[in-house]
Amino acid sequence: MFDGMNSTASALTAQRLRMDTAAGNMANASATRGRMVDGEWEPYRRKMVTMAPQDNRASFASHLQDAERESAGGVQVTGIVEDQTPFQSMHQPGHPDADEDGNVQLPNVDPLKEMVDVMGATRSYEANVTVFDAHKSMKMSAMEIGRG
Amino acid sequence: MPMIQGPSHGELPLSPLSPQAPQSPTESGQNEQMRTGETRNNFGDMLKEALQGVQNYQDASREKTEQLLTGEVDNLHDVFIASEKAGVALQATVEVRDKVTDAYDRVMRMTL
Repeated sequence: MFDGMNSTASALTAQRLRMDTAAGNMANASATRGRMVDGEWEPYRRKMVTMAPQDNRASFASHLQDAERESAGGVQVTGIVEDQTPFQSMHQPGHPDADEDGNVQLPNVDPLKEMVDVMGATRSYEANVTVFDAHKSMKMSAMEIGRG
Repeated sequence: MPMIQGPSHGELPLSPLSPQAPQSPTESGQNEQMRTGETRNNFGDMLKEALQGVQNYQDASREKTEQLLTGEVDNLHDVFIASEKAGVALQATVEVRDKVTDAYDRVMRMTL
């Protein structure tokens, strides 16, 4: 009865995680000590969320059920991957993490990209809330049948 | 009008009346009734099952709300979605109850 609402719920969860990831990226935009690699600090790497349609077709029985009901599934987060683009380098001698030439490796976080991601996640969340409300109002109108 | 001519009416494929045709649906209808009678004992059980489903939604909503109040919930929207589900399920129950009481009233108002 609530298949569509469950799909919306999964989308809201996914978008919230996307927002959390963008917030984390923005917060760590100048974190020069992300992790220790071979005794040297490597800056924070930008993280991205990957999503895929929810796969709840594990067994044959549920396969059949899916085919019978033709229900649209939700979305699921398949993982959080790290952006492999090169780090930014800034000449800043005297910085504790500067190399011999005085260059500091900074995270590959671009605040502009993060803002776009934040806006995308917000709008997508809003859109899904609108879908939920429309879904609910559809159910409510179904109950109006025969009253007029 | 060339569209409505006498001969075209005669070409309509009309299946002839047969005495067997009405019998088979009645037969299958009886089978259907017997089968549903076996799976669900009576109307009361069915109603109880449906009400239990609504109760489950209410319980889930209350549980989520408690989790929200105690700070255990991490997805705010789950709380509101659970509450909306419970609301829709309860509204549907109320609608069904109204229909049933309406039917009862109509029967009681029947002039004998």
